[in-house]
Amino acid sequence: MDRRKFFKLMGAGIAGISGSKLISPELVRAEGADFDSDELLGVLVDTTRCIGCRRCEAACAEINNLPAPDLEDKGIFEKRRETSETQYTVVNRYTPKEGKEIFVKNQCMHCNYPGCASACLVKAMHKIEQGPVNWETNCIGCRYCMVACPFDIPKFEYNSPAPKIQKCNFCWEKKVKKGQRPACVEVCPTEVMFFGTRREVIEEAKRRIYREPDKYYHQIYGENEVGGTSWVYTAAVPFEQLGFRTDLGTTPYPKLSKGYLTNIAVIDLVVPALLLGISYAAKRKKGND
Amino acid sequence: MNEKTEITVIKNFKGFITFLMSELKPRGGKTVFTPFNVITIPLIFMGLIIIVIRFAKGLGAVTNLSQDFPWGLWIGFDVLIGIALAGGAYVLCFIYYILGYEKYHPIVRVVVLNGFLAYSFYAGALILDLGRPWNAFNVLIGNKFGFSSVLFMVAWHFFLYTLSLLFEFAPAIAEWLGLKRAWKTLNAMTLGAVVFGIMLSLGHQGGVGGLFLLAKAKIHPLWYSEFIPLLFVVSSIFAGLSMVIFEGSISSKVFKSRMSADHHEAHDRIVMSLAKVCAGSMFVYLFLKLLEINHEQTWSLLSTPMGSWYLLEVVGCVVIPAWLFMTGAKNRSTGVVKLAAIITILGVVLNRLNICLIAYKWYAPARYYPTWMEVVVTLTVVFTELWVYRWIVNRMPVVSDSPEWAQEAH
Amino acid sequence: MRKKLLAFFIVLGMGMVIVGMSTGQNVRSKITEPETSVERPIIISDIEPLKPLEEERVQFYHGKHATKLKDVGCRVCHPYDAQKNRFDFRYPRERKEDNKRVLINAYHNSCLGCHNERLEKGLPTGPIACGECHKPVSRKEWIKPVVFHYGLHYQHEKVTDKKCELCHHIYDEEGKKLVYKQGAESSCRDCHRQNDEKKRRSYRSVAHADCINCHLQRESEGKESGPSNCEGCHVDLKLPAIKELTEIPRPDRKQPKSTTLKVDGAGMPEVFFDHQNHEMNSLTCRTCHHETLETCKNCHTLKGSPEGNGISLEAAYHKENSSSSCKGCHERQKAQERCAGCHLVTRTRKEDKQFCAVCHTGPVQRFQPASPLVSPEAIIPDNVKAVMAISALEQQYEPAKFPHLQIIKKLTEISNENRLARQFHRQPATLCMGCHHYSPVEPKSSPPACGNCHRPTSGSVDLNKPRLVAAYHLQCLGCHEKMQLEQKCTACHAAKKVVNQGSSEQQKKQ
Repeated sequence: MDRRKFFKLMGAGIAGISGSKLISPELVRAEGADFDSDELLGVLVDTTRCIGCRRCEAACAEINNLPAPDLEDKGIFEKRRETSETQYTVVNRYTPKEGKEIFVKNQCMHCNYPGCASACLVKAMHKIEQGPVNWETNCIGCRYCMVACPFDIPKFEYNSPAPKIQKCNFCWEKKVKKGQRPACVEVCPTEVMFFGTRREVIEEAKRRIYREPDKYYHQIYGENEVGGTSWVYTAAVPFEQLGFRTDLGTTPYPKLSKGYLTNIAVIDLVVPALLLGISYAAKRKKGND
Repeated sequence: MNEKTEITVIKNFKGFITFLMSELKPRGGKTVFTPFNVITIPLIFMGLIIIVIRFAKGLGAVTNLSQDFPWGLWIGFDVLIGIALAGGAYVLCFIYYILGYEKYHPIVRVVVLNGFLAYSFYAGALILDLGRPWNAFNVLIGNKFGFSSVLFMVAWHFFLYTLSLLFEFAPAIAEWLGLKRAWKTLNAMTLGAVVFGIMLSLGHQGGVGGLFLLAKAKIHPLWYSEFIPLLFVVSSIFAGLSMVIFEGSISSKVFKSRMSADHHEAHDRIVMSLAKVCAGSMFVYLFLKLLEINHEQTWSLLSTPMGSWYLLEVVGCVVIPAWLFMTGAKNRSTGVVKLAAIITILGVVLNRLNICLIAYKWYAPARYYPTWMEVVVTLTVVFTELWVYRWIVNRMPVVSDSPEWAQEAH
Repeated sequence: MRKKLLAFFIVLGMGMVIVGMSTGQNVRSKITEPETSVERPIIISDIEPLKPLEEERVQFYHGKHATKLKDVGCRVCHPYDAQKNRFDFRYPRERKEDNKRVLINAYHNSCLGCHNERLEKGLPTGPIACGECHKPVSRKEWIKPVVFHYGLHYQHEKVTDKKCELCHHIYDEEGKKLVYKQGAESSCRDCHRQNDEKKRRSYRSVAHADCINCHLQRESEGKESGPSNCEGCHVDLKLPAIKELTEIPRPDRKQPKSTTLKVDGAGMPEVFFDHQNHEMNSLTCRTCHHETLETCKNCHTLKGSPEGNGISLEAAYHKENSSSSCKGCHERQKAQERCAGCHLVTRTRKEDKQFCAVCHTGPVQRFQPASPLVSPEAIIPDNVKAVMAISALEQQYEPAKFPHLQIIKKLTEISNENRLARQFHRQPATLCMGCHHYSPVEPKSSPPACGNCHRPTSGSVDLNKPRLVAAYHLQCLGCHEKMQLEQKCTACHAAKKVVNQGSSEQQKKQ
């Protein structure tokens, strides 16, 4: 090998290494992997208490400057609603196989290991240390977070030339940061929601189930789903009957791409040297022929 | 031969009009209304208007994107289909520069140019799809990099790969401009650029599939597995080469006047060899598909309606063209090979569309269909790319021979 | 040649697609519940020696077999003792339950032996291959256990002219045989356990043997008889309500009408126990007495003993989630619709000494049933109005008109109707504790206002004290829901007509 080839090899190798440094395994660590999930803020939504008054929707709209929902519309429950770019939370009504009708409040689950935050390439969608998952304006509008969310929560303002991603922000700036409870939690007339650290919330859920085992279905939805979420639910019937997806598994979503990204790092390290080796071998062979 | 290797200097507006007219009638023909012009120019104008509307009123005004389907035709075409079909560049660079098969020399530059244009234009077209494109710089500069995002990796790879393709093509520009010393430097960097480029390609060809790893809950089990990136890499090999065969057959007719003699002659031999490489990679792909079905234990799903659709894609558009490639290469029949290339391209298009649109949320009652405006904009991008391609090929030594001072190095 | 090859492969591809689509049915077939008895399988699984199971459980269609082999009779599969004119309903015939392989072979020899035999004779037969029987089970178990309630027992008494020896026996250790001893009758399960033992068949075994044989016998004699097929007992038998059995005389085992429960060293005053009343309020003796009819303290000693499964005397009487304990059954009574409004909704203070004294009365000669509560007006403070206005949600609703006196009267009425309730609600103030739940209630003095403990606004959140509006809704609506009463918002408080005040966007014209 002559000097020129040596320099080329070195150059390609360094390019490869520095390129892979950008995505080396340590940096590929999933969003929020090194925290104690117990101390995150969480909310228990006890659907056995909800009477479907929708004050939570109204309070949320008021505090976030969104259009107020029409609380008088009793026909609103006929069709299942999703959150939208102008409504961060909705209440839906379900009629289970047995028992009375059940009302369920839906909003962002503020996952422990959010898929949306791991998907965001500019960290516009990110998990605040205390727990809430929020969106920042350095977003480029690629909508990958919408693809990544297993609950289909982030909503995009398609009809705006400067569109934002809209979803529940846990009232972080306006309430929780100042030590208060989120608006929906505060306004609920039957205290459906209980706000505290995730540990307190899960313990309260377990306490309620233990105290009245016939009243609840013995599962806390969100305790383990996709690695655990900060908003957890208890209900009187199995969760499939309430519009929840129960096939999401317990793997945190960032982990789904982590293995692949680590492979890329390996490829970026190994391939340049491999290719140069092959090229060298091929040239030698041709020289010999 | 209409050799326009000299550089036209546009001095004034009149000069610009002359330039335009000569472009519209590149072969000095009688009329401006060639089929190519008639189709592409109105469409490009329509596309530009639609783009203006898109920026003025938002994506919802021109697309059918919805909260359920945030990625539509633009992403499907620009990120998935276009990139797969541009895979010929890295494969051919591997075969020519790394393995050293001289016989591919005539087509290397064309393919690299096509790759470069494809990546530039499709990455550029992505700007149209981004909701907040003025923030796009945040991906490349800044302190808030989303390292755990596959899209971040893909974006950087796109950027770096476009640069490396530019470096690979740069010697042709230097030859055109007559910059001998620059040419020398650029030539020396080619191998480095190629190595870098192949490394990047292996990363992002799989990466565009890796994007969908996070959509585990939404993609039909027959298409979703942790092997998606690997399958995308392998399919990009035969997708890219099929595209090379396909557009090569068109180019050799359109740019016949500029092609050198040995280019013509070598063309058929090259096509046959590429056909064999395609067939080989397709068999590897099929084997991996079998492994995937076995690993995910999705055998029973093959008898569902979606299973039939899957079989159509895999059997109809991979098994059959693989066989066709083999028989075409054996019997030296360019017709069969070209047919195989077309079916393969359709198959890859179908596969990419399946992953991002058809098998994505296959359970949703309301499906996504692109609006005519989305189609027009996509075609605008493609046609503009063709115009630029034609302009370059008509001037630079891409299909024609390099100037003599550059030829000794090849 | 090329064209033919191409055409061949195109056709092959299309063929595969068509085949794929034509077999494209829904992968998950719907699970249907068995309609007729012939379709109901018994799932052969719960046999101890066979565990852990190596294959899928077999679904055995007894109904199908019984119908198709009707002419041959039960003899085909079950051993018949001609002398005693009895079937032994064990299956297979050579059933030794000590060795797994031997048992498996016995099943295979019997079932497959018969199937193969019939196959050779050209008769319609059952499955032969392994996977045809050992298929994944997709059905729910439909066999309900039989509860031999007082009604059934009385029916059998009548039909056999009270010949207890026909069913009841005990084992005489000295004579080494089964004898009948009057006064020692008890449940079959007293001796016959879950599984077959060396000298003692399982309960399931003997129940089928004795019951079905007798029924078959009477059937053949043309007498009125019970069912001899599976669903006759296991499906069609409906469990009666306790009310339906009040006229049925209970079995006479010389049991006391009432007794005093006194245990040396227990340290608690004795409990007067009205046995007859409790007999009338249960379906079988086994509700309390498990298998044996002995007195509880014989097995459930103070500290617990092996005979009593380690359950101490205290637990035997007080375990809340047990169906056999006193407290457990009383707790379940609280879940009735009329009682649930108070008992299942509000959380009261921990029970105190007075609560224990309701049962632990100490030595009494004669039982004093609790008399009905008189009208509670006597203890209500004078300043309490009949209807009170609750005005916490002033912004959107008029004050709620709370019919205090009416509710008190209604609760008194409900309590007086039920003997168990009367026993516990001896003091009228007890009824007040349904709502005034954490503070002691003294006659003629007002308990604390709800808002004293349940603060109206958010602020510090106490897990046990919802804020005022939530406290009202959880308690009131909770009770209304349990007792099937009005739950509409405006039923309690009328909506307020609001004129535009202030700048809030939320004001609405009603």
